[in-house]
Amino acid sequence: MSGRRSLSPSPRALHPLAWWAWAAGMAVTAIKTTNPLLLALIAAVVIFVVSSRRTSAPWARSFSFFLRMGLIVIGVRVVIEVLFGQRGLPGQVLFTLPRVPLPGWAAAVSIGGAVTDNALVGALVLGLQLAVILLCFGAANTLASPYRLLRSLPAVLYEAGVAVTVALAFAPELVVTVANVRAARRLRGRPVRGVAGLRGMAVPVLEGALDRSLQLAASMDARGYGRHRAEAGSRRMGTALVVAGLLVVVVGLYGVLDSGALDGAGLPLFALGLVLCAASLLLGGRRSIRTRYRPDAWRWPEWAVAFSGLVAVAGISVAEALGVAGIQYSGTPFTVPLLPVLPAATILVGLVPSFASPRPPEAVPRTAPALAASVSSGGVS
Amino acid sequence: MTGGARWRKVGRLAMLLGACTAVLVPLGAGALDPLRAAAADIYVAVVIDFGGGPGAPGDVVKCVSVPTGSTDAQALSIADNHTTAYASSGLLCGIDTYPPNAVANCKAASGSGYYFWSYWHGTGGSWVYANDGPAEQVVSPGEVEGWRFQDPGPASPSAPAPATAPDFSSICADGTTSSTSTGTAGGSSGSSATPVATTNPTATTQPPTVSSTAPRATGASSPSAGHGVAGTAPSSAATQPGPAGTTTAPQTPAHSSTNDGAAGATTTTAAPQGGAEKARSLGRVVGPHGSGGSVPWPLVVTGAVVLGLGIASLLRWRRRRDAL
Amino acid sequence: MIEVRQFSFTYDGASSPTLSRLDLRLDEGELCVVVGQTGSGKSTLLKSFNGLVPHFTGGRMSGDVVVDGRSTRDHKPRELTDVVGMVAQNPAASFVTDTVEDELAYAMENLGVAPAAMRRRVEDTLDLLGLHDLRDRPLGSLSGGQQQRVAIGAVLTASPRILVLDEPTSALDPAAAEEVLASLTRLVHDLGLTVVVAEHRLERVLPFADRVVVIPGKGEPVRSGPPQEVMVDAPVAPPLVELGRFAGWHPLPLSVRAARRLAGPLREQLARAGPPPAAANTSDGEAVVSLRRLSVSFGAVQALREVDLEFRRGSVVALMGRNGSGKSTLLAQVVGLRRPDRGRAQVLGKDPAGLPPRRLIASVGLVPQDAGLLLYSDSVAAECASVDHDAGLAAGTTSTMLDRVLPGVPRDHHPRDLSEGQRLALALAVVLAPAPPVLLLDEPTRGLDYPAKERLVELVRQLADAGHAVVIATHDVELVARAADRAIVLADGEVVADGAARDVVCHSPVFAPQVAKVLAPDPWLTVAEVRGRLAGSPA
Repeated sequence: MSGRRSLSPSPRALHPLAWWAWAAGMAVTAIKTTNPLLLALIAAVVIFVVSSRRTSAPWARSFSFFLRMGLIVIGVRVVIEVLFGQRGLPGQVLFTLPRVPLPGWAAAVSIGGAVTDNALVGALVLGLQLAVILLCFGAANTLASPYRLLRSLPAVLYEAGVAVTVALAFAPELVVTVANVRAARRLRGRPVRGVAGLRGMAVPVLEGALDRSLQLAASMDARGYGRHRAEAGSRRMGTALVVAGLLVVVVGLYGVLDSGALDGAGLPLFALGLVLCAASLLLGGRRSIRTRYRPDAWRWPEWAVAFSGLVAVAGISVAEALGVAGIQYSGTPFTVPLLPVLPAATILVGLVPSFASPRPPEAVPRTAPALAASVSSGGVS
Repeated sequence: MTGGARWRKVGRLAMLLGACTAVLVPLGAGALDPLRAAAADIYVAVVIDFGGGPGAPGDVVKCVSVPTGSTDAQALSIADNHTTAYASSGLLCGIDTYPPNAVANCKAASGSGYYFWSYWHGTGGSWVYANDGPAEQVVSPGEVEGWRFQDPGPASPSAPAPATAPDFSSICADGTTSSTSTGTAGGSSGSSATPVATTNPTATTQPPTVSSTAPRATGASSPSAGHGVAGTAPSSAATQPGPAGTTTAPQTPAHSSTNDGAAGATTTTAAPQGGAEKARSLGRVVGPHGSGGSVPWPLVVTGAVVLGLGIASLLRWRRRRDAL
Repeated sequence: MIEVRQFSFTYDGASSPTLSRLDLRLDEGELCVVVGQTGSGKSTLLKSFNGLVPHFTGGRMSGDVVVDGRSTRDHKPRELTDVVGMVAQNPAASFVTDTVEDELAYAMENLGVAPAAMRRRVEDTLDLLGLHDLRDRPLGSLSGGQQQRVAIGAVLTASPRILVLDEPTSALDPAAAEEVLASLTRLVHDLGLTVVVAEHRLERVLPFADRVVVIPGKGEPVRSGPPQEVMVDAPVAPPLVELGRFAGWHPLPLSVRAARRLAGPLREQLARAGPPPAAANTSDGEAVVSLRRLSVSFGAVQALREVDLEFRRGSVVALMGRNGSGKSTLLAQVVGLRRPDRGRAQVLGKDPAGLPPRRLIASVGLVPQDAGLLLYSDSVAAECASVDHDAGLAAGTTSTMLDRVLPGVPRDHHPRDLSEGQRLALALAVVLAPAPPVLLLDEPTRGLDYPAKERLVELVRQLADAGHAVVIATHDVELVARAADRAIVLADGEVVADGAARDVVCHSPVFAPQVAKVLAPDPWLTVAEVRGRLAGSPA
């Protein structure tokens, strides 16, 4: 790496919100289209960016999990279509399952029957859409440290952020505990599989988690968690504003995503929600006395990354508004899907983070994994 | 397993999935249609009323022969050369490539009404609003099915019924197939639209010469990916030499997509030449051209890009895994 | 600095007070060790310095605890952050963030310290505790000793005057424990902090102590004073102090160096009285466990490399090595929790991974580090009953075994409410009830006080005499000295030393017990041996 001038800025960790903005942009683009070619492009772009910028941190190992989940989603969707899809639509029959007769009032539902190629392809495409959305979410998880994301939260959401942080820290420990408990059950000669196995594992795991949470709470209390200025009134106002703002944002987002609903009031509502949230942040921030240690910077790479996601959304929204053909594809009629150029180009803009974002710092050396197979708790032995 | 092995497994799965899909595409329904037509033995009358809105073609009234056991939806698709477009949810969005870009505009609402296709049963001599879907019932001989596009209308039985009277005997005279296409333009589906008001029917009359060679086995009767209702609609070559008329709907000028574009070589570019300069518009779409012998360009282009990115990703993943 | 006045405390639902009318005074700049048996209220006392008792734990308190002028009656723990810093037993459970640097800064963020000051203090703390090359590391990737130091740093950045630690070295191997104790000593001497430490393994901590507080429990008064005075008749004492008491040394030596200066006459006496007991013969007895070219790796990390070992009936084997050397992995292989990558492990001639559950628990039993993982019933009695049922034993077998291991465990208690020693006893009973010929123990003495350790040693010897093969993975060298016949040292997954315990342990600077260090080069392991040798010969 030394001695080679790279295009990217100097190594540091990109602000996590920038990654989430990019991933959200990709996900919204995927929500707005069912064209398998566009979806495949989104997936390829996301995978490329992740492969360029991932780290070896513990949370960054989850990407392959999301990939597999995506494939499973596609498979499940296809299976559901094969078993329960709507029959009788035109198309070439690929194979026929024995049909389960249903009473007349359930005529709209069919179990079994002839499976046509376009129905399968339609199901594949819908599954692909879900898988790509999952992939975008997985990319955000992999690239942005959840802890730093929570640290970037404004002060008024601090307590909620801490709860989520602790949950995030617990989750891998819980996995290790479950593995330990399974091992211990085998030592007791008890079943580790099946329902009986599950029941006997729940108690020690939950008890362990409870113990740990008490210890954590004591430690946080002892380190000053919860100190604040005594101003009761503005706190309620701040919380109410946050809740109201978030609700309005959600409604507005729904309006934006589901074009046609809310008669185009989506975008204004979204903006209103953002304003409310900002107001609540200002109000709530006054009460807290917490300072922030080395907050993440927001510089031009962050702007570039966030905007690349926005460009993709803009591209597909404009294309949709112009009525460009090919954004939706349902498999019926059964044809080769089109490739609308504008959305495709703006999706490819999503590759910008792979070189515009700084390389992550390679500070983490390889370490021994938790020896879950050996029954050890806390500390590698 | 190690990262590399895992990626190989994922890659293989993905390739398998892709291969399956790729195999299905050429296997279009057109291949077996001749066989199906040979087994047809029921005649059903289909009336399609396009609602008379701007750019809507005239009524299509046909007698189609369908295999026993088909549903009304399949009858309809035989009637319009398999250009019926459904949304992912199973909602019927477009018949005979009308309205253009049907699937995308499917749920459009306007005021208190909706753009939608209403479905009518006409077997009793008068139109009755259907309470079930076309895929739910099997055809019976002598049925008359009606479709009307509402522009916009209430989604209820109070919507107007198709204009043509539901008279099976007159439609299916002598019990033979007779297709009367009263469309103004016998244009092929998918003549590339010249966008904007400069659309003239003349431009669309050229295509008939082209598309009338429609009975091609591969059934690419709509050589250009016209209006959101895609390219290689397999046409039942046996039945319709006269393709269902479609005009490029001039009321959607901005929507029209020129279908030339990157892909070069199609014989049907005779008509699209007029729109070549319009190709610069934002609504550019890459679509498959010509008959089935030519290359499905969208797939090729996308496949190349995705493959390139995929290989680069794999290399980068490996490199980072070794470096980390 | 800390004043405890007539302090009594009763937990909610407890029948009797945990601490009763305690009076104590700790001066500034002292390293104070709190000593006492399990259940005597050490943890309660330590938490009361912080305000966690009573504000966090609930309960009834009378009397007062004043730290640096602030009373814990009026001040909640979060208001005492800048006065008292508390480090819990399990540092990993108290981490809030994910990297070292953020963890160090957490307390200051809560206090609202200015960012520039935060930066300075974090850098200072990193240097003070030797953590500067770990600053970006995720907390989960640190070793036990490093985590303990990060936990200390995390409370240190708030600049408290008092540091309270509850069993900081119990989970650490000797080298890591030395690091932590060295850091603590440096804090006391360089910064003048007051450090209060509760520890079971006194042998590690006593050399550094300025004051010892003994909490005898059972309502007896607390004794506090300089170590030499208090340890003379304290109920719990490390082997060094016991040796000193036995030999009548005055003043009582607390460190190996001090003891060696006084040990001359004793060594001569021993030399005249005879050699140390011979190493027990560990090569007869049927080999019940055999490991051949065993290799295990987790991803790129090789946990065990080509290990060749045999364990025989009637012997007690100690597996030693630093954390991460593969001890737990080896035990997991013997019990069949995972198949090896290469080589094989056999118990009584069979592959343990393939044994059905009932055969497995009748062949080999493992008590894991966290004994509570084995227990999941609501009461001790229910636990015993379930073991009888699973193993197909006659009803009451486990209960009898429990009484044999440790009499007096209340049958209606929830297993999590038992003390550490009682929990370990219950786990041992659970594992021993089906009478497996092989018994494995993984770090059994963590959190055990001396009397409980005594009982464990006796039990282990009885089992060995009865023909069991016992393997203990531990870094408690005193346990090895008392109980083991044979010692195996693992490092980086390989067997580095394997032989009679006396030979392996006595001459190693890291693993030698205190008695051996004092009486070096004569290979004496325990005070009991010394006593026995001198009693058997004319003084």
